[in-house]
Amino acid sequence: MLKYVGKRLIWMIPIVLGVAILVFVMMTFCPGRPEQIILGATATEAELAAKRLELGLDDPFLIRLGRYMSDVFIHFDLGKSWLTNVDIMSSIWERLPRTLMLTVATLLISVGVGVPLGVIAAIKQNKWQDSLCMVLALVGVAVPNFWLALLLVLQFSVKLEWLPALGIGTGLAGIKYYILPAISGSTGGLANCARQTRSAMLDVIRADYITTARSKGVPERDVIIKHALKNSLIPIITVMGTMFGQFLGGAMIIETIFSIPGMGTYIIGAVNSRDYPIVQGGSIFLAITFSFCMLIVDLLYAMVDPRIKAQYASQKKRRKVKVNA
Amino acid sequence: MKKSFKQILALGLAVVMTASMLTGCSGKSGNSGSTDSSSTTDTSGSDSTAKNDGVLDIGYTSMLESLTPFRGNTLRNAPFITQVFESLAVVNENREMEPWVAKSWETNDDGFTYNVEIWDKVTDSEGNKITAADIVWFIQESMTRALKPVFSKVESVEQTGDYTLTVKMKSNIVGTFESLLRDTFAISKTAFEASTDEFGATLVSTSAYKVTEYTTNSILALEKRDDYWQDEANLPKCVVPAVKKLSYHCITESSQMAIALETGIVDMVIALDASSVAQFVDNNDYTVELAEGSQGWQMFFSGADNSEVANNLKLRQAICYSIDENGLIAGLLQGYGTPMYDVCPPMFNGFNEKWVNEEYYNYNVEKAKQLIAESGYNGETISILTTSTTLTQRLAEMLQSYMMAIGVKVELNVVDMALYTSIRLDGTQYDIVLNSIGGTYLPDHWSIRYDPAAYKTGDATSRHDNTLGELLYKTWTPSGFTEANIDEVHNYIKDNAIAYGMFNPQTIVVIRKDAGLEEEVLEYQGYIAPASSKFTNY
Amino acid sequence: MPKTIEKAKKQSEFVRIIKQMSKNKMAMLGLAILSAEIILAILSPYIIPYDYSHMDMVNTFAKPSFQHPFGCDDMGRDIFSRILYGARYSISIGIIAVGIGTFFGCTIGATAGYFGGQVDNVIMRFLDVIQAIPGMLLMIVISAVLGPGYFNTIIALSIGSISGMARLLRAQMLKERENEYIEAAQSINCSKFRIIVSHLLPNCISPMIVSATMGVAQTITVAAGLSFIGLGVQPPTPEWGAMLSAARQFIRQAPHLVYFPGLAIAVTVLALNLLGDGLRDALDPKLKN
Repeated sequence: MLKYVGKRLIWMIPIVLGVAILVFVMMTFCPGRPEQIILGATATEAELAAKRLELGLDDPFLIRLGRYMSDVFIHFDLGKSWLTNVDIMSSIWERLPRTLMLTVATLLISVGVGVPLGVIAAIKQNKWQDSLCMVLALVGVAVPNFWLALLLVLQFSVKLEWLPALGIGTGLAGIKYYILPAISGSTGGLANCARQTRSAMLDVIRADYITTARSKGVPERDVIIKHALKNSLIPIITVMGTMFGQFLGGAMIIETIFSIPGMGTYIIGAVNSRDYPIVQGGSIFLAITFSFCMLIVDLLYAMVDPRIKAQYASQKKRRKVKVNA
Repeated sequence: MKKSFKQILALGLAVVMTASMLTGCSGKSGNSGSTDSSSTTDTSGSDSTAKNDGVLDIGYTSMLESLTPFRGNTLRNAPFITQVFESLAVVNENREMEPWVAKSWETNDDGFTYNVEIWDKVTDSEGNKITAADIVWFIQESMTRALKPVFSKVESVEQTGDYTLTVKMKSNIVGTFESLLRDTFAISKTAFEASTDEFGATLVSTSAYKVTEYTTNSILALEKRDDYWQDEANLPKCVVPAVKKLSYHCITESSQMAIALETGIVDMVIALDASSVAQFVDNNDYTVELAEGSQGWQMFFSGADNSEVANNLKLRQAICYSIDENGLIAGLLQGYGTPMYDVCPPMFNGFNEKWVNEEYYNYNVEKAKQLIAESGYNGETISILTTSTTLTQRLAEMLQSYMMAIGVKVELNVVDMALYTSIRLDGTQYDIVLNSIGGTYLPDHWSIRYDPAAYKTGDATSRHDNTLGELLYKTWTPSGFTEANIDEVHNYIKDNAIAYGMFNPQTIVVIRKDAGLEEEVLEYQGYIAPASSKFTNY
Repeated sequence: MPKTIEKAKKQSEFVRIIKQMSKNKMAMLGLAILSAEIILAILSPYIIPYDYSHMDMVNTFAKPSFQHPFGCDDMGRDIFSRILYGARYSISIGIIAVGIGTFFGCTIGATAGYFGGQVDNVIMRFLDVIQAIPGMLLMIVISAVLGPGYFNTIIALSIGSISGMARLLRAQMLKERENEYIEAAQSINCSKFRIIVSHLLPNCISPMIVSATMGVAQTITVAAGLSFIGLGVQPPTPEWGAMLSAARQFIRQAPHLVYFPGLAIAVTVLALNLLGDGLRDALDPKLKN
């Protein structure tokens, strides 16, 4: 198991390297002159040229790429913002927790609501409860996030005055600031989760051991929760991984509406001001976060399904057997 | 059949539930005008506990991206700048320079050389003493960094005593030295060099307030210092620190801004979007104040040779006549704006009040059509360059529709801010560029827009109009800054339709009554200076 | 001879799916809504009551009425006409972007899935890299590179959907490749291209169809998100997402400005999802009753 984790961690290195290169290449093609944005419209040609020189923008592409890669991966230095000179790493450490908090809260809501909806839909397959649950799940996904966010704010902050409309708080009281953003961001994942749960449950419900359990007189509630749901967790966990990635990206819009100073607003601002080091550094960190999350998801698999655990332990052996067969 | 009926029923039920939620919200907002006052009273009541935290919370649409004193012109006029940094002088509500860190200044050669004396007791929040050496260092450092255009107009700066310095300017364009006074902050060189991030996240300044909390794009909290160096009696009125604690919140969504005010997250909003004002007007819980805008919105015609409009005066004039300024003000600003009578709004120093009564391309479709017919325009597409903010996009859409009404074909080139900044000076990339250019003196505006020698490509739209250049240069010296000379420039720009001032949005400030505003102090743009005004509760 | 049998089998399969689908009332409802929308979109230039870009300052914020069923927007333009005409943009953006994404996704996925080994390894690692960047971020960066506009938005959106499609097809291919009929085809020296296109693809296509249907729905909402950030399709194009995003500041003052474009998106996305769910059930062999 540990060996597997180690292997996965090593695998992350080329992925992160790849992300760094890819984003670097894309930013190179971005129209708009960074030095003009930094210096403003009234800067003279000489000043612009000096700035280009300072930022190394005139160097050949490969040299710039090499320099950036060595800064990041050898010296572990993401550099400073071109616009403000603030160290990017420290900004990210300040902002990443907020985005993570938002993403995790979004995930919790998606799973917390999506799974029960899916279970009910599966138990009552083809009955009206099924349709109601699935349509409810779908209504959320059908509404663009930012619209839903505004509607929720009008309802819960303005009309009912239950929750703050925007901003961030500190400590435990800070949690309530994440509730509306998380609900607004969760709809897509929620529908996905409900769908996966439903179809996984449908698969499992027909399995023999469920019939056996039922015939043994196990109460229906236990059949559903202990047997069926537990065994349909794997496909649900799989979607959780991709959902996490989606939420991480979706946070960009949600953060803007709710004035949360997280990674999303940071990177969007940087794209708009062509502050390349921030876009690159931010993407690298989001990629690392995402990869870690995928690793956790895979480990969760193993916890839920002992078969997979065994597979990790004897992966090589199994492959050989397969080849021979 | 029965099953499918139930399915449809379920779908119907779900739709009704959603619809009720949506209408539940919209129904309320639909009649906001009549019922909101009662609900907002509740809000203020329930929020009273949260409001007694002794902090004046202010909503504003943007925020410093770092605390560094070396900044570009963006946010130069933001309401928090005077509480974060102290400059040599400040512009007061009558648009006059008042000394602040500087004690006095004088010139003996028509504005080329200035002798400046600063106060001898200036200290920053860490106790560093500010001397003329720090000011000289700040100006020189700003010249090297070249972030603000005004510093490129400085020839040299030199310390002449512990608290005196001499500044030599490259030119004596009216208003340039005044800008320099405004943009030179009192910062201790020692403190700056000791900072690891050039004051990116933490700041040491001489200001009466200390930054207690700062998060990029989110919040800026300030607290009054006990050891401030100056007697309040000696301070310009608009920078007297009256409020003890205040905190600026950056809220970019305009509807969220209104909600923040309504739910008491903020006590006042500076520069509220016109689309959200309605609910606060004639509402006993709020004070709504309007100030004339300081920038205005202009359209600049390209001067590049390949542009269709550059060589066709009648076409340019026709376009100016086709625009319904009052329609723009109604459609874009819900009426919270004024038409313009020059490219610059009346707030600029040098603006002549008589222009208000002169004809300035008032909306006239017939005349526009007649001019189009005379112009020989034959259906070329005119491209309008603008940024992708909500206001500019809508403005561009309306202009497109006005111009199409007189038969001019228009395409919009809506790009993000970065791309816009990179191409707006290149007149070959557009026929018309939309912009909002600020300044204190008319020559500020003129020198960056119409000076044919300003950029490698000519003026700011690639035009090489030396006649206009000569007229401009005449007004730039303090002795040449006369009404007659200014009038000539105004008429030249107007008659040749080089640029056209469309409308000037008002700055809308809304204050909750329960903030207890007692005495209001205005800053130079004509709206409330929050830190210097008196509030019962803060 | 075997070909005709295969064909007959396929036809019956097709008929079965249609039958299965038609039993699913929800899916049929989705299909009906969608067809109606597409027809209206095609006919829109002939049936819209007003020019979608015609401003009328007298009617700014006009409430829904007989003259203007959905009211007028902040510039006095008829919202009903704009929504009908905007359907062309919104729906076509979704369909074209997903179409391009599916095409390239299929090509990449099929290549990886069929050839396996090093080819597969290289492709999959590359997809890993792309997938490690959150989708929205990727699209924002690509939109910034390409600039705004209808076609550029389509390209940005399609690139975002390639990797998911490729992965899906590859997984199907890996499963399908093990089957004996492929071995048989290989043994008679069938060309690789032919095996992929005429044997493997048809058998892997059903999850792709479902995924593409859902993808169109998702793309429409993502396009709205891009408009929100200031990228995406630009005015005066009456794309729903752009309309919704431009009107959001009036949500208190004139909710109908936000209500109708939002509803248009919601109904379309819902219809596509219902259709997709129906397709999934119909195509899923496990659910054959």
